Amino acid sequence: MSGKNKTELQRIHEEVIVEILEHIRDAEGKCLILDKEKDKEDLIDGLFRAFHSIKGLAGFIDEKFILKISDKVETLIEVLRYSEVLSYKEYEDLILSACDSITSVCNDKEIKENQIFIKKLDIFLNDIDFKVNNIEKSKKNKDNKPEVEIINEKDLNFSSNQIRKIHMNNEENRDQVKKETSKTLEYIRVMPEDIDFLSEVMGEIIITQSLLEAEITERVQSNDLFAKKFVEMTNATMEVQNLIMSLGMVPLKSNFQKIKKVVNETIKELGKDVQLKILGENTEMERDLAEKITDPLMHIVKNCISHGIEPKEERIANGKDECGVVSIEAYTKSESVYLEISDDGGGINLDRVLKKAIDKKLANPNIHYSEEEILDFIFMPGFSTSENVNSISGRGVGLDVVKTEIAKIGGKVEVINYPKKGCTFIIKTPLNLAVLDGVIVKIGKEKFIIPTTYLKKILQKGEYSWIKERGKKKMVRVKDEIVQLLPRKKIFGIDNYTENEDGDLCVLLLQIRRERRALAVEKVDERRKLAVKNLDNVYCNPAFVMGASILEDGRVSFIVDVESIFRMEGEA
Amino acid sequence: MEQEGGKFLSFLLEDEEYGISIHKVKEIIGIMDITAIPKTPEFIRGVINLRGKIIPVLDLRLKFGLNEMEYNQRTCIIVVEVYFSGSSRLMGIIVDTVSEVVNIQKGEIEPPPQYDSRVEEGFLTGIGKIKDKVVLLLEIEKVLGSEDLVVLNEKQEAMLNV
Repeated sequence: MSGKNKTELQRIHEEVIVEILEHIRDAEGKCLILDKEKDKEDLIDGLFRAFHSIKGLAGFIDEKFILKISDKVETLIEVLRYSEVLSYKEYEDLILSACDSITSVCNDKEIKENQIFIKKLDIFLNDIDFKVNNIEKSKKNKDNKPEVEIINEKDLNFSSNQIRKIHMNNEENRDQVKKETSKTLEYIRVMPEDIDFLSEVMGEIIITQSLLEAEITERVQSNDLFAKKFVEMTNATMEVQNLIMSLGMVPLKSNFQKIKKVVNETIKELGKDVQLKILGENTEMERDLAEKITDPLMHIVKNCISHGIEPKEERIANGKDECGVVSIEAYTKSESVYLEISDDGGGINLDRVLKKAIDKKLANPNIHYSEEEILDFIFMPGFSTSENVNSISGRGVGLDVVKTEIAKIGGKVEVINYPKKGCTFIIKTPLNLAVLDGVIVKIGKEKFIIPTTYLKKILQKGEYSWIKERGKKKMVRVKDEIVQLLPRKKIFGIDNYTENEDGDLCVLLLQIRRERRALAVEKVDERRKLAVKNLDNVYCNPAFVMGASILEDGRVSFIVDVESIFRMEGEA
Repeated sequence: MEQEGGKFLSFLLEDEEYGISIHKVKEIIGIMDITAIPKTPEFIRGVINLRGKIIPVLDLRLKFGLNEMEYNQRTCIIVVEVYFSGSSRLMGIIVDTVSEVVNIQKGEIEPPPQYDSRVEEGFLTGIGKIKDKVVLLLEIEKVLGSEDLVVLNEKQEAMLNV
């Protein structure tokens, strides 16, 4: 497993870095509300403690850069603590830049050799010195300066804590901005790889268990002691599994903080008056997923700020508040995490979108598009309504990339438009990367899994009719629509259709964006959540497969990559 | 390449006894349910679920162009760990049955014949002769990494571009 190849020292070093980063995130969070918060004393105390801890930790692992930065920032905060300062804005920025520098040093080992970085850092540190001097000069009550060292013992003990690998978080907890009732929390650090391993083994146990279950129900009566005990065991394993699932989950809070930081920079850069509201930051998601969702989310938020929120004059003219509002709301609903990004801007101008789509040859000027279809254009590659590409919205990538990134983790993005009032982007992603909502179908003799995301409808006998070409099934007619049949022979190598007693097949109506295809299957088994297994080991990984899952009987079943089969043409 | 002496796991295919280095063998399991992979050569039987890991299995008889045999109680899957382009993978090979672990000294190994109709050239690294037995020593990486397997991936890719 993870740590085995590393020396104990490396492991400790890594853990200390992780702890430093945690303090940084904590400090960033406090810093962002510093200027607005009325009760600054607690915040400043918290900041001071965070940087003091970082300094100690940096000293412990002999990380000179971090030591230097945190030392300066500590001095700055110390001075701020006992001074009357009118605006904290500039200090907020300084501390945030310090956080950035420390994060860079933590994440990038080579940066320490980078001369430009070192130079910049020197200038930055001098800047802090300069500010510190300024405050001290302007301080009138110089003589009343109280003793500074009021650091509690806990903070000085981190190194020994570190070695014991146990981190008591009760002190930190007390410092939280929103004061909670005094409850004691204890955390143990665990490597993410260990959790992965745990859930992998748990998966094996569950598969074996379901195999046993089938066997037991066949062999013994349900009131047999054997069966009873087995049920008890099943319940226990289920509890353990739920726990393991929740272990890998993290609240979205720290990702939101990152977004908040970047977005505040964007707002500054654009010179717009926008307020960012965040709701539901305690919503939990699998760690990996939370990481992967951050960039697309940030992109949409930036998009709302630069495109959504109108210029001040326009807002006033429309009777809106001068200050625009962009909000992010996260919540969980039936095994999915929803992220809604709303703005109170001008909404999406459908005529302009359509015109642009026609200009870019994405749309046909002779076709009448519905509102939904027009909104779809903004997610297409090569579409960007911004006339002048700026550094904020246009990195050369558009919402199409956002959509692809979200699709990669099994999610969807939709947009709801309120003309003149704003718009809302809704991202829906699964809670867990390793779980897929799929329909199990039989094609030929094997069972395959079709991700439900692509499934528009399951057509039973009577709901469709075949269109044949020289006696061969070619297309399917559904109501007034004619849908092309996917080439089973080409995709699955299956020539014949094994029709059921009714002398017919089931037809799956699949849809990607506006394209539809039909896939004939022998049988539709069931729809359920499946654990996705990767096929790293299978080097003869067929193109139409995106992964596999293990069914209840222990057999492997392939998950069909619908995107790629749509591109295959040939004999149905 | 000269075959070093050491321990080999020997198994039967038709009437011949073959051997692979014991270091490559991870475990031996009985035949189990195999999920076929469409559009692959016949000798690639499909994939199995090895305690939650999905690994490909291939039938060595078919790979060597021998007659197909129905799987029975004695049929075994030898799970081997092989290295391809720097990374290790697990794969299963289906054999008639596993016989034993034999120790073959270097002196008991003869170089492979220039031409041998039984096994494709290059797969064979030597012929071990112990007591009254002859064991054909295989380089399993060569067998599993042989061209038609590697090409397969490209073929699949190409299919998409039609």
